[in-house]
Amino acid sequence: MALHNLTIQAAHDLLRRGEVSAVELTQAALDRIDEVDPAVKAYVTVCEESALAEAAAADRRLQSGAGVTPLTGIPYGVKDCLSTIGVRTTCSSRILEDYLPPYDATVIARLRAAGAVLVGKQNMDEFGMGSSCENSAFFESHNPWDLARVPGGSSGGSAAAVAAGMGLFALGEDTGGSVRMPAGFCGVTGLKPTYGRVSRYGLIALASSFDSIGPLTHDAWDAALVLRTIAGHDPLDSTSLDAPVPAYGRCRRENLQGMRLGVPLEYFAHGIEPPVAHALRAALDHLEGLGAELHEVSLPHTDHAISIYYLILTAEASSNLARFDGVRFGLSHPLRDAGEEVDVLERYLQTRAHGFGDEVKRRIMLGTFALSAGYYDAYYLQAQRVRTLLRQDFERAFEKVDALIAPVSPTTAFRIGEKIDDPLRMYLSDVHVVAANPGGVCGLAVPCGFAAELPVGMQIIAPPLGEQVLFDVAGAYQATTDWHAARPKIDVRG
Amino acid sequence: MSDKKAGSARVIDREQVRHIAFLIRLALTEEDLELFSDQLSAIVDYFNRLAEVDVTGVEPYRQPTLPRRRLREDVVSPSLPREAFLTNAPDRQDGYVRVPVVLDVPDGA
Repeated sequence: MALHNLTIQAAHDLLRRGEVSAVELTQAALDRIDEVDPAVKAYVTVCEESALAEAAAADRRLQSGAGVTPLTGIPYGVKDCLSTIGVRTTCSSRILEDYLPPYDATVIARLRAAGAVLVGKQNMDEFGMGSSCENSAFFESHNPWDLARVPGGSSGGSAAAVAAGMGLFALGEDTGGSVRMPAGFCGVTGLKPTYGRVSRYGLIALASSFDSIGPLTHDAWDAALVLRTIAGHDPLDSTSLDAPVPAYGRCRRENLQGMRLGVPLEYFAHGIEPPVAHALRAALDHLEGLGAELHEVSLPHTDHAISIYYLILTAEASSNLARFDGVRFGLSHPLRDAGEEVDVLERYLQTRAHGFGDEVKRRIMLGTFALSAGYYDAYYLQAQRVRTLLRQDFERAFEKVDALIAPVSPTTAFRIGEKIDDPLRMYLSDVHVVAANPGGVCGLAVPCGFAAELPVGMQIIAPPLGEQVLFDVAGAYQATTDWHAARPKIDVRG
Repeated sequence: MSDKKAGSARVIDREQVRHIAFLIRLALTEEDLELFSDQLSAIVDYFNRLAEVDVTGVEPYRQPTLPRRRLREDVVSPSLPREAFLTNAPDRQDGYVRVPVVLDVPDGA
């Protein structure tokens, strides 16, 4: 397999045996970016020089043998909402177009310490608001399986990059499906860890009670390796959990004997395209063949997950994005008007009008509406009450089963432009992924087939801190299937 | 664009959009008001289905108080260097962030 398409584990074996150097691996990723990114457009910023320097340092570490980790010398990219010291971090927004973080996010610092090599920053829907990567202020990203289609969102650049071999893994951020949904559309593995499992320090916040940073990889064991490195308590994030970090992925199950898997009726009930439903049924049969027991379960408040999610998200986002005022950092428009001082109110109004795209404007208006006097009880508070019921749905289901199996999305990747003028229809594409965030559970998307040559994703959902269960189920599935090993052929002439 | 007919009753009308946009310090054009009133109304209309859920006796979800919330020792430690912070300031002067005039100062004061 070409160097740019390896799993982390395969690359690590080659590095350890000295059959390839970290500089060669990094150069292969950079060459692949040169070759296919003009068509895929996954990266906002590529850090060629610093990546090669980090790779050379990783080679020295590998030669000395001291402090070598499974990620030493592995090239990766990150969604552009994670702060990287001295490397432009934009959230794909005009308002942060020239922002240079003065510090690293904790996850970046941990990957640096492990010797991983940062090759660049990946495109996203502006501030994570979107399901297609079309809401980037800079450009759309394209699905490597069909360049006329979206990669999903909001971590669309990250999913497209991994699928296309531009970095061996990526870090994304999942507020309501933003890792899992694009992973499904691009045929890669994407993890939303339990809220608090991974520090959010240095993540540019979208909705602070949902935001979860997680890896996009080629398989579940790679995801386990990355999680092992980035998880754990961080004194800089008071919501990060104290729970010990297990050696995720180290103990691998051969089969799924005794594993109880729930099939939530509501997730298979409506609007799933027949070829997607067919792939999911085949995956369920396969899991049963591995020894798992399948049980029908019900999550009765599923129909309300979109409303709960979007009401709470917009409320939190409207206050998180109040910091963009054109004073301390970011775009300031106009700074002067013909040399004259600009009125402070006018500066705020114009900075935010010029700095934010339409979807960001819609969402911070919705959130402000949901929190405003006269509407607070009916919208925000009602959403938080139904969120309690949604969480109880999951708690009841997990009394009977160890994990749930669901689709990632009701369709495969849709066409660029198909939903961009209808925000509500775009929101509804998140129907199967949003519940995990208000529900407090963790989830993993893995490829489980193709429909008309486009990847179909299966979602595995486990109770809080049940990440190892996700890896067990996905690991046994991927050990006996090869959907995750498929790589797209990219038509770079398009 | 939603397929709601112009002129039909909207959950969020243009004046409400204007008010909300001012609260969050966002300048909108007349065309923006029309588009957003339409789109936000369609979305809020969808959210209205939440009212159907019986929440009698159900507490709103609150993030659990963190276990063993510890306060760190109050030890002096270096903060960001001034230059690192100022790099991103749109307007600066003499090592400070320069901000627009917030209070009107009468002449000669």
